[in-house]
Amino acid sequence: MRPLLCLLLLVLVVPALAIADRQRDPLLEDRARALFREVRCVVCQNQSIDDSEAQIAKDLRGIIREQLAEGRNEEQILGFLTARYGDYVLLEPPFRSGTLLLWLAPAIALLGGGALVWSVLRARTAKQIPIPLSRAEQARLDRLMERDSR
Amino acid sequence: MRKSTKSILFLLPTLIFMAAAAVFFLGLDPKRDPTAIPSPLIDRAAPAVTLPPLPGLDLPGIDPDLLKGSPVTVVNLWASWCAPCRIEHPQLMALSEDPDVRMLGIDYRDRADKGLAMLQELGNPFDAVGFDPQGRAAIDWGITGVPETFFLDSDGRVRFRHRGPIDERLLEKIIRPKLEEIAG
Repeated sequence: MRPLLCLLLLVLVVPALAIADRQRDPLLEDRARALFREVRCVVCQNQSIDDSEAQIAKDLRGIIREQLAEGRNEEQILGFLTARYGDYVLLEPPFRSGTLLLWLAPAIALLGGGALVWSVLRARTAKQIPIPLSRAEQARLDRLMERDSR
Repeated sequence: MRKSTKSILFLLPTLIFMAAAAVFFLGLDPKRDPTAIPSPLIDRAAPAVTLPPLPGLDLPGIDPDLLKGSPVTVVNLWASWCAPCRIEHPQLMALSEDPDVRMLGIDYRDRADKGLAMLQELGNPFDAVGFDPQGRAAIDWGITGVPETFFLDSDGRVRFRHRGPIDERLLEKIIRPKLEEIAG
């Protein structure tokens, strides 16, 4: 039981140590952490600065905390970052005319696929309308049925 | 459905395949660098950052006035601890011989004595060197690491950015033609 408890304590304590430079005000710190998760670490592979220990990620965290303490809002801070690093610094690309296709592609694919499936199914059911037998065919069928029932 | 429209439908998978193949083929271009991200500073005014001079070096620091006026201004971010910067250094020395080029250096996250020692050892290509031990000015330039070099026109607009070291081949093939284009 005791080693398990030690492990649990360790797991709880280590993340707290990892953000040693955190802000005093817990509300500001929450806002800072929320921003960190939105900002890409520019030298990493698809990692936010919240997850990264790269020097540049530390510097960016410091700047975000400073600017929040100075009373800047989220929009101003993200604007500060995109002016320097472009949209690349945002983990979620912004919704604007240039990224319209990027955002709408899944919906377009879904609607297009749905329309395709619908039209194929409709074409298939349309083909299944039974064509009435000709008189000769009907006569042959009757003969066969009669022979079978005997 | 008429016969003619049907035959176009039969061709559709082939057409889609050909379009996809063309896209993939273009993606294989060895000159294309998928990690290259265009700098948002291109064609915009260089960040007006003021930096104190590198202590011990008898040259001014970085002043926004220094960013314009020369046909070409080169802003190079470097550090003594950065090995690629040492590889790049001879090319910076060669660039500094061009009378059309003003060379500005920013010593990034460095110790002043070590930065100074590197310039004394390898030569000083710079007309001014700013000292940025906290790396804050570097973020205003939107850098991801050193070395990184910006090329500014006489109005102080950023015209070209290169990430990573400038080697001899790059200097002749890309940088020199760019300088001519910027100096116009």
